[in-house]
Amino acid sequence: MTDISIKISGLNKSFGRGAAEKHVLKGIDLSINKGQIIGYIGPNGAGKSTTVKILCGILTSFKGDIEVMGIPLRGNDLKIKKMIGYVPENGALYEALTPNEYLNLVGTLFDMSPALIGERTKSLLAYFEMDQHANQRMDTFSKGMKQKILIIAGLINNPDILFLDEPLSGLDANSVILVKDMLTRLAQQGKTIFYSSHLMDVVEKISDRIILIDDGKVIADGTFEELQQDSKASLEQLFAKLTGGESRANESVAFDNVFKD
Amino acid sequence: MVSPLNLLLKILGVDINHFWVLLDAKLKIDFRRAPNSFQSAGKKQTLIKQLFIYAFLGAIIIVSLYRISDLMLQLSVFFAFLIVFEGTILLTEFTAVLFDDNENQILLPRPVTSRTLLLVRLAHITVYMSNIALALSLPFAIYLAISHGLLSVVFLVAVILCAWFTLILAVGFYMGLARFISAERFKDVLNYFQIALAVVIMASYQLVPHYMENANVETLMFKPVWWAYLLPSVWFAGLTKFITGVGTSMDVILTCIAVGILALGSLLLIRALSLGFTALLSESRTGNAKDAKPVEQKSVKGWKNKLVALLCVSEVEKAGWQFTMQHIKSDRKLKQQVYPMFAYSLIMVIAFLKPEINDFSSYIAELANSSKYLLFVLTGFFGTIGISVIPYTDTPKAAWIYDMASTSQRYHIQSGAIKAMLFTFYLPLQVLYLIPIIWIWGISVLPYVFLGAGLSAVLAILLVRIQANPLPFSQAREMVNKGEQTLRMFLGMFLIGAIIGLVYLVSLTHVAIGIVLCVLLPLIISLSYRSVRARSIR
Repeated sequence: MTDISIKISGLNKSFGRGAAEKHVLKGIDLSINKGQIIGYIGPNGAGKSTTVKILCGILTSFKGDIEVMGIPLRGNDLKIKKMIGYVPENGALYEALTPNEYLNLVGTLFDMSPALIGERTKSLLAYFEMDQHANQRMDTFSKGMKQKILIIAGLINNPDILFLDEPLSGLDANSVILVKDMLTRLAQQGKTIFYSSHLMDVVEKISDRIILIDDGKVIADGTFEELQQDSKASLEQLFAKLTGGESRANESVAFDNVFKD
Repeated sequence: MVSPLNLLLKILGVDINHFWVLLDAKLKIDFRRAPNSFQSAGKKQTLIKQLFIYAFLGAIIIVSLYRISDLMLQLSVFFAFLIVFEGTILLTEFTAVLFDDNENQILLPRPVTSRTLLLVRLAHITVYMSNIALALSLPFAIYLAISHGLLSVVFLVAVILCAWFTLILAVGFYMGLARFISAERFKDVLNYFQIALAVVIMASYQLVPHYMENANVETLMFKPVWWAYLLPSVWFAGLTKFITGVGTSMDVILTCIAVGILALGSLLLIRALSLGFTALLSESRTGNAKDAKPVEQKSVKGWKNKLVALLCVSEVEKAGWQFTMQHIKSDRKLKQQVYPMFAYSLIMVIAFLKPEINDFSSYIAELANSSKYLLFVLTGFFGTIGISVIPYTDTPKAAWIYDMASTSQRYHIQSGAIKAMLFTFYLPLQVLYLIPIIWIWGISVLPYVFLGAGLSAVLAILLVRIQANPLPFSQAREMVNKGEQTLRMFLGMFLIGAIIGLVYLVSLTHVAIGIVLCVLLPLIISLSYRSVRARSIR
């Protein structure tokens, strides 16, 4: 049995046609092992969310080959969707429903039994300290509370691979600690975590492997220590160096001139 | 035991559990009132009110149907009306439900099949379309119950089948269209198609009855000509008669066609065309090729900018103008609401004037001796209706900027927006109407035309002030209160009628009075804009 959970070969994705065509992913090749926490980072518009959406079967047209848990993604998206969890950034919810109703709906879509849905809902709501809000409508929730429900919905089917796209958006410091702890525990259970984020400090701390993409291409791939190359630089500094942010930081003088009127 | 409906779902290849749990959630959401809703009543109450209005409309239709003595013709005309009416509602109200972007974000990452997703959305729309169809048909069903007894029950079943037929016809067309154009271009094409179809439907509503008016419907009998077999409304009429047991051999064939088309159409749509549905949903929401292109920045020294500078009294008002112009160019739903109004006005003029093609020269000569040029002013008011949709947008949260802007001229944005709307939609219409007016009535009537057009604009501006319309693009589209909007439209139509009456009275006096009033128009318009700008900030 293979240890590889995700295998991507020559992944290309474009939007638009002709002169307006935007080439978002330009030949991504990756092989990700089970139980790894992948920090998938890159500047805005680098293609992070597009990669995640393709891997989750949301975007169906792409070039290249993808295998998830040894199954080709093309033509098997439903089978793969059953094995994965997806937590979008600021994702939509049926806000007029209560967490119990919404999670019951999501669980049913994963063909889970009502008893199992009830059990998991109860445990996960309690873990995220949302149990007292289980029967309140979600349109009264804060951004952080809604984000917790999105995370729970991503976990309810006990996925083999969890894709997270900026999952900490809107969460308070205590909740961030909870999520970080949860991700580490899930990885220990052999689940693959594909974590896409801008928050370098979190990625630096939790990731076994960091993949940096820029302009649709992988420009760095390795553990944090491998990326550092004995430099003692933080991930933020490495990110800036590799994506050209360092040179842009030197343009602070130009910014100072903006308000000199 | 498997229920017949579940058996049907199974035949169609739908996941039964997923179907019911999703439909249940959707209906639950529909009937829960949003806590921050500006509407005092929930959707359930709004729906009930709307159903009453549809039933009232159905009662009006009976007046026309009552004149037809032949049952087959009566039923065929009614089903034709129903298909057109439901098609219009589907295009204007339910297309957004079919391609619901928000829900796509929730469901596309889950293991839901294309078929299930499509059928859930169709079923959701069918619940509402059937309610509307039944409300519309109820008065006619009562009439049929009195005149034909049991036939009315079969008729109501046929009405629901007819609603389903309209739905699969429209959605089948959408799905077929999606096969020929890219998913990214789909929404643009759909938008223009909706606008064009809304206009065609409106035109047929207004113009067809006029040209049928002279036909002697009382004695008109249904003839079994070959092309009658091609008309969906005739199929459902035949089906109603056949099941009731009052059918002819033709009705047997019509029933077979109706049932066959419904079964085959549903199978084709759900089993074959639905396969690309989720792909269409996911690809069409991820961006448009056009959106990726940088917006062309036109020269700031263009004639339009000089005009804006001339027409707007402040920088904030200019900003309101430009903001609205940008929305007109890029907001698909705004285009869908406003562009047909332009065409409606043209259609209404034709419907009112009833041109006689056969004897056109004497018709024009007769027209020139009348005051019917005022009908152009009356229908020109449609060009102002776009003003009522300015407050609505899909991104109302962006309106936080109004609260943060440190300006005491907040309502200058609104007056700028009104000016932009009148300039884009009302002015071109009025200029266009000058051509037939001058050709038929000559320049002597121009003072009255200008007076009527000017006062119509004043009315449109003052209605914004009187009705305390919210600031541009600050309210969610779903907050539109249809009942209130209808009342406003009636108020507007009543007042425009009064203005036309006033202009007509002026036209009976000395022409100098008309000219003097025209000279005063800029002042009146300016004062009405001032009243909008002067609204206090709460």
